[in-house]
Amino acid sequence: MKKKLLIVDDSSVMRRTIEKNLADYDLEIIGQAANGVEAVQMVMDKRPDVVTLDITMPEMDGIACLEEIMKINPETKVMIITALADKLTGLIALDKGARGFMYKPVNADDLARSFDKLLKRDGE
Amino acid sequence: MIKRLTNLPIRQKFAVIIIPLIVIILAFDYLQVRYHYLDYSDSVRLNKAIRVGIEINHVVHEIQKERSISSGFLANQGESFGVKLNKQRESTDSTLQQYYNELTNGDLEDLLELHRTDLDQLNAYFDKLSTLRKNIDEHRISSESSIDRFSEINNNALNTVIKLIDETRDKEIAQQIHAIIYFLKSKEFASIERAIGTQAFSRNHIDFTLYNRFTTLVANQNSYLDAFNIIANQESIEYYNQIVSGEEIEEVDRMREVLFANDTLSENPDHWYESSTIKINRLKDVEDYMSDNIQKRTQNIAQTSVRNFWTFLILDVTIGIIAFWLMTTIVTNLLKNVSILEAYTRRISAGDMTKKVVIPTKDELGQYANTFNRMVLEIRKSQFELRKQRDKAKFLYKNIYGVSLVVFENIEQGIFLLDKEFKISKFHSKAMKEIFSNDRIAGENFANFMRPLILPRELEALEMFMRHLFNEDMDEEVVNQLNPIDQVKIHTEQNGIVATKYIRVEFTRIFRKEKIQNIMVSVSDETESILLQQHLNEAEKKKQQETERVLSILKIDPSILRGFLHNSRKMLKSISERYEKNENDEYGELLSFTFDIIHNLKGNAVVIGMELMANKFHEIEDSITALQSKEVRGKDFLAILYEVDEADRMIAEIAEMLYKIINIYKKFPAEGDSVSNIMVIDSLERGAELIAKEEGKTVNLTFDNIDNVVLPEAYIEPFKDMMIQLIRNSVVHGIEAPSVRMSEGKVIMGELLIELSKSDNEMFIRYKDDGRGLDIERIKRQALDKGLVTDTDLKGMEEFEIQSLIFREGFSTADKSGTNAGRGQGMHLVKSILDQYKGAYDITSVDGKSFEMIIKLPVLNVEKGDEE
Amino acid sequence: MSKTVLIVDDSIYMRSLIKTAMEGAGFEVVGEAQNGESAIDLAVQLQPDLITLDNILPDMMGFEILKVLKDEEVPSKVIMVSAVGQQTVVNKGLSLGASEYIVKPFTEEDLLKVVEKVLA
Repeated sequence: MKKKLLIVDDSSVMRRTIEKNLADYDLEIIGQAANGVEAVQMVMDKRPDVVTLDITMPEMDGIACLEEIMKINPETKVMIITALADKLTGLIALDKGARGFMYKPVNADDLARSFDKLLKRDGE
Repeated sequence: MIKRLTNLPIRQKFAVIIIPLIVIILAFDYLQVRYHYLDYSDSVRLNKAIRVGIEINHVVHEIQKERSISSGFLANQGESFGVKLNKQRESTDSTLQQYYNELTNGDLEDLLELHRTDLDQLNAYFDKLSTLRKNIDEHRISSESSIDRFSEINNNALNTVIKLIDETRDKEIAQQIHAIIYFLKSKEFASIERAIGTQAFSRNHIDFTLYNRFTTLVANQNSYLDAFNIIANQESIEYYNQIVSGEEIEEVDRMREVLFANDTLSENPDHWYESSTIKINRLKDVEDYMSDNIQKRTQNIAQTSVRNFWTFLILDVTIGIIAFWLMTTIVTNLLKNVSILEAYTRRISAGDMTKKVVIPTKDELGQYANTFNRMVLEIRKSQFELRKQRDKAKFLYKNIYGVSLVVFENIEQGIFLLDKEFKISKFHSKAMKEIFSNDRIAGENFANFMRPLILPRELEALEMFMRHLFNEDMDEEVVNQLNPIDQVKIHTEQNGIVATKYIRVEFTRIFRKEKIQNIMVSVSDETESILLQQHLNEAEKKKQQETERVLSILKIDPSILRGFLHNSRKMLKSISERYEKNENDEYGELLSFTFDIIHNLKGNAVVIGMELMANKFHEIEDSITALQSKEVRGKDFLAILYEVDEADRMIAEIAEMLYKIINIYKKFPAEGDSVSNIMVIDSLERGAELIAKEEGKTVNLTFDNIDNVVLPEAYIEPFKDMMIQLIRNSVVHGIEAPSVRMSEGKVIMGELLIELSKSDNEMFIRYKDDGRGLDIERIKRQALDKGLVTDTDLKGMEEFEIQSLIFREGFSTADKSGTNAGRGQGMHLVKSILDQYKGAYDITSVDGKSFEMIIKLPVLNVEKGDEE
Repeated sequence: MSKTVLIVDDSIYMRSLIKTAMEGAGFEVVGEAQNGESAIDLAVQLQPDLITLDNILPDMMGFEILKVLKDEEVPSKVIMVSAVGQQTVVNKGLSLGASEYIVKPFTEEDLLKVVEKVLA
């Protein structure tokens, strides 16, 4: 069964980039969210296996969104993709249950490698 | 018991086996030898006894005769037998003497010793003989009593003989001895019978008692003869039958029957005596014969025994010696081999394996030794292997450990391990101490260790980060992206001196058995490189400022500039003068005075287009404005003065630069506005370099002014703008990328050439690059794309016309519009300038080799002349 | 009534000796035999209380006579009279029914002691 992916980023360009780069993966993209509130709603509705999550977003930031996602389903594999250079925030995200972390801008190779790891770990 | 036996050393085991065997053999030998010796001694002793016995028997025989004669003598009151008696007594004494003589024989000592009592007793009886004879001579004794007395002596003698000889181990001899004994007894009874007969016939009468006695005598005599006949050997019996027969014997039997019938005893007693004596003598013959036989036989046995004794002794000793020799040899050999092996094993157990064990025999021990040798060889091999491995391991250990220590001593990085409690390992590289200026490293919690060195936020992040590093569920790479002290600025203090350092800290997981055991941390001090970078940046910035300054100077008319500089210095100086004169600490007034001057200078700077100074003065204005809001103190004003000083220094530098430039101009024998010319070329060179750098290319701009053409003021800007566009066009489009140039055999550095020349009424600007030339097809495509021409237009166009399309407005062959595009108008700008100044151009493009453009401009002699 | 005795011996002197001894002791010597054949005849005919049986007779051995007497069911007690060195023969006689034995030569007292023992 294909893993279900949700892409969360307030930038449509970024969302498209991620979508394009993950096209070759055995993932079913079940939705895209532009802010945390939308994202939480979609997680609740569609129960994705994997979520790519931006941190700086309007309405609800990535950390709060991550907390909500973990409340809904702690098994969700969350990959933080952010331009925010603050490492403490990143570490807090890991604390809250994120399983992957990437800095923007992303390129295809890095994204592939990170997803390989994330899904491989998932498969264990 | 058995366990104790099995635990004995081999030597003692052999002893346990061999000693009983030897004892058994020796015992057997002893028994054999003893048996034969006993046989021998028995035979010898028996032989002697028989000798003595024979002597006694001789005496007995004579006493028997004397008894009969004495009995007859007494019976007829000494009428007859008187002479015979005396003769017989001599004969008896003679045999008695022989007997005594025999006893004195030396070799009988042991026998005599053995039978001392018996023989003493017998001799006592023999001694009684003289008394008895006296009684007979004096008739003081009855015939019957005399017989009894004699019989008593004989009986004792016979018993003594029996005692002497009745002791032998040989059954056959024992039997024959018994035969002799029975025979002797029988003969004794026969002799008594003779005596009684002699008595009876002498008296012609036999009384009842005597008769009974006679009958008993005969019966007993026969009984003993029967016994003799039963046990005596055939030889003796035959001899008896042969000897004891004939007329005389039958006569004795006849007279015995007469006596038994007890009718008329008219027989002549002498006749009876003679006949009986013949018979008894015959019996004596038989007795002697038998004695002889036994003696021979015992002698024979003695000889055989002696032979057997020696034979056995020699045989046994020989066998014993051989057996002992064999056993000794084998056992010695075995023990020797065993002890060789034992010594060998002891040597091996002591660790000496250098020698082989040599067992010369090919028995199990020999094979064992061979096996042992092979085993030892194997052990040595594996030992060697082990030693090799051990040495290798030792070598590796020493080296690796040594190298590690050396590395730790010398490496410039700080390296240590963190355990799960974030404690720093005991071993860490020496550089740690230098980097952190801290001795207390080992065992410290790394977060605590870093606490005084970094910001609280960074510290919080570090603790969280380390926790994630030890979390195996987290990917190392993911975590490492969030290393908060990846690059961090720390302040260390050593001997009271605070130093700022830039360090890079990297973390690597160390796994053991697929579990995170430790985190290896490496710390590098990047202070120097970062400081260097900062220096470089600053230097670059300064250089840029200088350039800007130069450029800004060059844009301004030197005389105006000189005036500005002079005025500025004077004004600034007035500020410091005013400050020095300020005795009443009226800083507010001083401040406003300063502000006015600075503001004025700023205005001047703006007017003459000296942005650099205008900016600087503006900064000072800001600083002053910031101060105006509060009460001004002397200390505050010092900061303003510092800034004023700085502005003064800048002006001095600009003045100096101006002075230098003027000196350069003086060296150029140039006419016109040559300074501007030089400045233009300078800025074109810089421009070319800048554009090339951005495009990742390198170019060399050569400026050739053969005719020492000086561009008039009016042409400087147009010239500069056109050249910048051409340079840009060449660098972006014409000059190939370095890799391409290399593959085409060109010098990597692109060559750009600007050449000025003039004729009487024209000025020529020749621009050339060694790039790929104009790409006609591409120009066509671009022109079509931009809608500048139609396909039809293109078909009717010459090559030059197509080339000229690049000057058309809206044509830009560059895909991206960068900052290098000058004013963003491209080649169209060149064309419009040319049009403006009534210039003309010519293009020569050699495909792959060069692009050349020659610009003709009219000489502005008139204008120049007008100006002058 | 005195006990009856049969004396079997080939030697007249021995028979005389035994007869004298037995009669002296009050026994009635009812017969004398000097060979085996007459000894058997007399024993069967006379059925004496006691038989003194010499072991060696001219025609047969004493134990052969004992066998016959046993077959003929003669109830007489038998004393074997044996020369010295005849122990095996004596033993054979004892096993065939003889009550006692006496070794020649013997005295009157020796004989009577044995007889008393047998007839006790």
